[in-house]
Amino acid sequence: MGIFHFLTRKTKNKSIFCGLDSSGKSTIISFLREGKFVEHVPTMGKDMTEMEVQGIRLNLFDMGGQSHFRQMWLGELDDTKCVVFVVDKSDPGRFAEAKAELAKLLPVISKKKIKLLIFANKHDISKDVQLSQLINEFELEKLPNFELLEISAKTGFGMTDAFIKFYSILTGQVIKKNAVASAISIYSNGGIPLITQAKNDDEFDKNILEGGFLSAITAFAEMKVNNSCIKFESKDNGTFLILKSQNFIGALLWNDKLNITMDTSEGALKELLDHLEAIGVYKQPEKVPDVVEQYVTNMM
Amino acid sequence: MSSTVLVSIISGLEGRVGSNPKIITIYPDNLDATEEFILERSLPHGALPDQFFEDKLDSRKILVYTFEIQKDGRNDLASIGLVLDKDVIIANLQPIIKRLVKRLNSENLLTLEIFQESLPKIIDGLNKESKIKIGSMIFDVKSILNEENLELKEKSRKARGMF
Ligand SMILES: Nc1nc2c(ncn2[C@@H]2O[C@H](COP(=O)(O)OP(=O)(O)OP(=O)(O)O)[C@@H](O)[C@H]2O)c(=O)[nH]1
Ligand SMILES: [Mg+2]
Repeated sequence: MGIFHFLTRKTKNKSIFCGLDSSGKSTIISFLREGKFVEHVPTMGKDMTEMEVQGIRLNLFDMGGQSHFRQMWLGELDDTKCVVFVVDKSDPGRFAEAKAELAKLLPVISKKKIKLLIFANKHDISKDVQLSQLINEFELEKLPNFELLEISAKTGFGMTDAFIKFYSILTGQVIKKNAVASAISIYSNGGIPLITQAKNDDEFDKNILEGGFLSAITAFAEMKVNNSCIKFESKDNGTFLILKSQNFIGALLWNDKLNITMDTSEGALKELLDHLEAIGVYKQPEKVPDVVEQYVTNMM
Repeated sequence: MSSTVLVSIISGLEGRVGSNPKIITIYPDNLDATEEFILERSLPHGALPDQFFEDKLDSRKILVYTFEIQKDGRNDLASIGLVLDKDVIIANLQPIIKRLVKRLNSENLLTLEIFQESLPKIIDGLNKESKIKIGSMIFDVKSILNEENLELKEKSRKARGMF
């Protein structure tokens, strides 16, 4: 290959994340990377993240959204395959400003046949703002092609679907979403049930998980163990995995029809608990059901 | 003895919506360069909190330390940039700067306003290797240097030659 090849190498599978300051670009990228919410300081110019997914390397350029940095966006378009334009859906007061910035990119996007993916972020605090409103205000119907997805980089709502779309646009490859459980329950660390969600809203699985082993949860709540998983096998229903974090207990129902290993499911349950701890929702238990409901869109 | 810190710059990129990177204050105000030039060096592109950056300005060295300032919403990114005498041992100055910022944070004194106000005291303390007093906090540069067995400047060739 030699050094010449290295010197002339272009960034492969490059995507750039643009959008106004504070729209959530950095939060989205770190959620994709780590599977949980992380708070950031504003991006100073630009930041680059490399990820390898199913053997393919992806380059994500996180562009600073402050007006000072916006002239840099165009300069990055050259070898870019996909532009992810992030809009803060909870801030309609800034839609016009965002639209004007997007308009500056559109001629190059269209000339170079770059794919455009629009993330309507912060859905957790803007459920009343419809996508149709965004389409109207941004006049998206005039664009030849684009994809628009509602997400929340705080609660995780829609993040797996968004990533699947992003990945297929960038690489031309398909990844399938795997359910990691047929039902998931979250309890307070005292063993009080907060929410149960089942795959395809299956009442049967919900009931099994809800009714099956409350006494076991209560006993587990009294044990002073964090992050250790206990497993119960039930001949007819699969295996119950129970895990405790500082403020929550999570349980899920695994069976071999899911086609993934029990370890993967355990890892996913741990990520969910980490996420709940990271966003500090234990301070407002009444919000837990909504937050869990949004996050498990990624898990089932 | 010549000063350790010749010029100091505090810069910030606030977490609030609609902010932009800016120079908060320069002390003493005598850097002969455009604002853009100074900002590029004192808050470099790609900077994340808790990083050091080194650069040169003519024969002088520049050391930048970035940190975050806690806010209710998103935190601010800020930096302290120091234009240094060429004899300064940067590796020895770094832990002092980092400790100072950490200490200000733990005493709830880490704000851009306090930095702006106290910059002369901070620079004076670094130059004289003496105590920096901000509010009720006392940060003793000399005793930290002694404790860690560090010198901020190379001994001049002449002085070394005498032994
Ligand atoms: N409620 C809610 N807040 C979010 C969401 N995504 C991001 N935030 C918050 O929005 C703020 C800005 O997020 P960032 O990811 O730093 O925004 P950015 O687009 O990278 O901003 P710049 O780097 O300034 O261009 C932070 O305080 C995040 O916590 C979300 O989905 N829901
Ligand atoms: Mg950012």
